[in-house]
Amino acid sequence: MLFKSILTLVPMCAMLGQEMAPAKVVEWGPAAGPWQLSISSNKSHYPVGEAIKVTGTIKNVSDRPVLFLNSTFSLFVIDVRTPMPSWIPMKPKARLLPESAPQPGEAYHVIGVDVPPAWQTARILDLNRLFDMSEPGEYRIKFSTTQPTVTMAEGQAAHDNAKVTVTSNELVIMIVAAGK
Amino acid sequence: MRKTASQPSRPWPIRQALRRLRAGRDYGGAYEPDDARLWLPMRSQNSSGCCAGTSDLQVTQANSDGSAPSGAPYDYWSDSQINVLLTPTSTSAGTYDLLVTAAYDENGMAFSANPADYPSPRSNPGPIEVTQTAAQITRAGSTVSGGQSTSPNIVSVGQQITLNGTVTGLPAGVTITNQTWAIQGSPIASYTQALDYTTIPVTCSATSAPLAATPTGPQVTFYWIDGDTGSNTITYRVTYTALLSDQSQAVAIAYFRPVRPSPVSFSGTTTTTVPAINESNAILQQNGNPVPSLNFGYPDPDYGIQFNSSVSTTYGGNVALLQLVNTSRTITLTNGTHGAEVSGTYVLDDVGALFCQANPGNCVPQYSGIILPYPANKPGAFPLTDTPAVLLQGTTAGSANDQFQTYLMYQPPGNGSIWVTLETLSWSWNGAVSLSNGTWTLSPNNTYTANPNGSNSTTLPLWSGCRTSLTYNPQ
Repeated sequence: MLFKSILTLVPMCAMLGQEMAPAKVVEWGPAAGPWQLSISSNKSHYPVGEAIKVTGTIKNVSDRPVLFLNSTFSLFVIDVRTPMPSWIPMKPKARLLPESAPQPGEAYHVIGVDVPPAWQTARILDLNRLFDMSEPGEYRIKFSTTQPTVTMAEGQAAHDNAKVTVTSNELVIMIVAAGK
Repeated sequence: MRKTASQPSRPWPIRQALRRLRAGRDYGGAYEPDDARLWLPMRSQNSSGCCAGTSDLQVTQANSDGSAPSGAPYDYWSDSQINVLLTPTSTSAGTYDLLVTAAYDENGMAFSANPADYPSPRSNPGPIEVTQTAAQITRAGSTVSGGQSTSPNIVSVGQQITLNGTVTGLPAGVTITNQTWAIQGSPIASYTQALDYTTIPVTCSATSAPLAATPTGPQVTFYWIDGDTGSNTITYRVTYTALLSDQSQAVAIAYFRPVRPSPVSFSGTTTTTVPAINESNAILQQNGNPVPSLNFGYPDPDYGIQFNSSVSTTYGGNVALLQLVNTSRTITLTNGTHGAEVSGTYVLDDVGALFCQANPGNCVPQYSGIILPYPANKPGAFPLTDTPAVLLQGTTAGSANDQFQTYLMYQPPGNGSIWVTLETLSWSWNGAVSLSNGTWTLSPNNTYTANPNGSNSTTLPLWSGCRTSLTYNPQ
C-alpha cells in the first residue's frame, strides 16, 4: 500500500515541480568564430558524492555552415576549480580521478560533418565520476572545445582548417556535506 | 448477378424471381416445355418497350422432361414452378422485368391472377435486379485500382503503403469468405531500428520482417524498398482477391511505381598520407591532454575516410549514414595482460551513451546521430568524415581489425515511413602497433581499403548489438 502511494505521489510531485520551477535561463559563453558554448546543471547545490551532471551544449551561431568535429573520446576540455578561501586568488584545478581514465584499447571516432546555422548538440557529463569533488565548497566549472571555423571543403582546399577555441560560461556549483 | 473485374460473369438462378410470376399457376397445366415454348421476355425498366431476347441475359431452360441440364442444376419445370438459369453479360446491370409468355394464346395455356380473371398469354412482370459485384482497392480513402499499368500510382520507397480491399454489389446473402493479396516487387512488412540507453541492457537492434507471400484480410500494410530509379519502367501489380460464399471471386488490380531517389552517388576518399595507419598523440585528447592512439588517418583535414554522397529525391525527406562494424581488437597492457574485444558479427557503430543522454531526441542509430533533411526535387550533398582510433594509453601493443559496412539511407516524409538503403560501401582498416624501448612500431602488414566505392543496394542493415557495449576479455 505504501509502495502504491509512493508511485502515485511521485508523478504528482514531478508535475508540480515542473509547473513551479522558474524558467531556466541558458547562459552562454562568449562567441568564438561561429561557435558558442553553454554549460548548465539541474541544480546549484549537491551533497558530497551525488552525481553532478553538467550539460555542455555547442551551437553554430553563424549564418553559414561550418565543419563540426566530434570526438567520441572527449568532445570537451573540462576545467574544474576547487574551493579556496576567497582571499586566495588562485584556484587550483580539481584532480582527475584515476577511475576516469579511459579503457585502454577502446575504439573511438573523430567524425567531421558540416552543420547548418543554429545547429547544436549537447553532452551530459557526470563530473563526480571524472574529478575529485569530495571537498565541500564552491567549485567553478568551464568547458571548452576547439573547432573549425570553415566548412570541410574550405578546409581541404586550404589544406588546413582554421580553428578556434570556444569557452563556455562559468558554472558555479556548491558541494555541501552529506546530510546538510 | 455479379461481375468481377477480371472473372467472367456466372449464372444466377431466377427461382426466387419466378415465384412472383406464378399468378396463373393453377392454369398452367398444359404449359410444358415439350409442347409449348417458353418465352422469357426481358426488358430494362429504364428503357421503353420490351427487349425480348435481350443479349444482356442468356436463358438456360430445363430439359424437356423438366430436369436440370448440365451447368444449370437449379433448372426445373413442373406444372406449378419454372426455374431457369439467367446468365448476365459482363455489362449487365440494372433492373430487368421478367415475364413468362405462353407460346399460344389458348385456353389453359395462359396466365391469370386468379381463376375468375380472363387469362392472358403473359404473366405479370417480375423485376430482377442485376447487380455488378466488383472489388476495388483503396488507399487513404481514394480508389487506386482500375487503372492501367502504363499510368501507375506513384509512391516512394520506404513509404508506408496501407491498402484496403472492398467488394461492392454483393448479392443478398452472399458474403466474403476469404481475402488475399498478391504484391509484386520486394515488399516488406516492417523495418524497425531501436537504440535506447535507458534500458538495461541497452536496446540496440534492427529487425525486418518480410511480407507474407500471400497476405490475407481486408487490409495490408507494407513497404517497398526497391523500385524505379528514374527509368519509369518499373511497375508493380497489387492484386486483391475476395472469395465469396457462392465460390465466385471478385478481383481488383492496382498498379504502383515506387520511386527511389535518383541519381545517387556514394564513395569514400581515404587519406593519401603515408602511412595511412599510424600511431600518434594527435588524434585523441583526454581532457586536453594528448594520448597515444593507433589511427586510420590524421588530424583534419587529412581524415581517415571522407564519405562523399549526393542524393536527389522526388519527395524530399531525410538522408543519413548508418554504419555497422565487425570489429576485432587486441591489446597488451603494460602489466603484460592480453585482452581482446571481438564483436563476432556486424554490430551498430553507435553514438554512445553520453551522446544519447544529452540528446535524447537525437539518440538515433544513424551515424554520429546526424540526419540531414533533404528538399524535394533538389540534389543534396552529405559529406562526412571519419578517423577511427584505438586508445593505446596503458598498453604496450594494440591492434584493430575493423570491417565496416556503411549504408547511405533515405527516409521519405510521411507517417510510418521507414529508412531504406540506397547504397552500401564496404571499407576496413587492419593495423597493429607495439611498443619497444619506448618507441611505437607499426606492423608491416597493416592494410586498409583505399578509396572504396559504394554500390546500389536495397539491403537493410540489421544488427543486434552496439559497438559501445562491447568489452575486453582477458586472453
